[in-house]
Amino acid sequence: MKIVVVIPAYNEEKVVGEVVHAAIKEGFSVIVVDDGSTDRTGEIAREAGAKIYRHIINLGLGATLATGLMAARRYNPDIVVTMDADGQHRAQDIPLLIKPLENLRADFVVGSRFLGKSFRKRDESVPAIRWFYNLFGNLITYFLFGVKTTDSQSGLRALNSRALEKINIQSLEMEVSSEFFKEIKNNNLRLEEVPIKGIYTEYSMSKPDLGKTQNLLTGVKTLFNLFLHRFTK
Amino acid sequence: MILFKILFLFFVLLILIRLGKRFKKRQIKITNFLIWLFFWLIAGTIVIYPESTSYLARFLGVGRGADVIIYFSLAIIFYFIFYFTIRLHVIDSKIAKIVRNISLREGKDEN
Repeated sequence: MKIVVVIPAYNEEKVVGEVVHAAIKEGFSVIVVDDGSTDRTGEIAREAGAKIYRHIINLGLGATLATGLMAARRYNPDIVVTMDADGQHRAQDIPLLIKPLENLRADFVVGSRFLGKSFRKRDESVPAIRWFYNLFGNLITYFLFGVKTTDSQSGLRALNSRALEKINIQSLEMEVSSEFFKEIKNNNLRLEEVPIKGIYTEYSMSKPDLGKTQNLLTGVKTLFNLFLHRFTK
Repeated sequence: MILFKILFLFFVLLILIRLGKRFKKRQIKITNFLIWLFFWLIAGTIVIYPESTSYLARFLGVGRGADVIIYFSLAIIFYFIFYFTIRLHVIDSKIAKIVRNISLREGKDEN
């Protein structure tokens, strides 16, 4: 079973090496798509053993994931996993994540930080504001694309080769997380969720661009882009 | 009012000259050239004969000629905002495609 891990990365030189290393240690091939980083993200990932694809300018998460999936197709994988570069996902969770694919129960698996957990019982590492942000994202995803999910914003996903072939990502930025669900629905893919633990380290919470990815304005922009996607194809 | 008319007509004239130059250099398509020519000629006419808009106002059931102009202007401006938003989106997607192709090509050689 050939498994390729795709990691979109933008200015993550402090942690990307560790993340790549952990995934390779688990026996996976790793592709890092460097989204026009201004630091040494690409070099460090390459030194850690990843294959590197580099955007010459910064495009955004959606465009980076799309490049990653296209690059992954070159290696004819049975399964492709996407995970964040900032260390909030554990490579050790991947075997559990891909179980539903190996058992042929699903075509697409989402690693959910919220599955089976209420607001009160949420992981102590999940900040309250993130919980509500995610709930809102889930509702929007359901409202626009008709797919029920407990973690619409999760960056940990696994696709089998059928899903990899069918899914066509158009988003350029954060709205990509919800677009995956649109593609799941449009292509009649079988979705399953697997509970995972999100690790919000001091690093991932204190990133300089956190303000950029989590603020209200980005949320509104993401929402607008989602509407645009809903009614354009 | 006279001063406003002179200034505005001067402004329209400048725009028409620029428009003509661009068309001559083939920087804009003939359809765009005609649309803008028509637009600015009408704007000029309205400034010279502001009463002409009252006919239109009466016809459309809007109180004053000046109001008709404002409604139309707003509609046109909003249309352009919408149009440019979509255009920007299209251009963004095209840039992404170019950047992706370069990265996939380079990646093929390096990895």
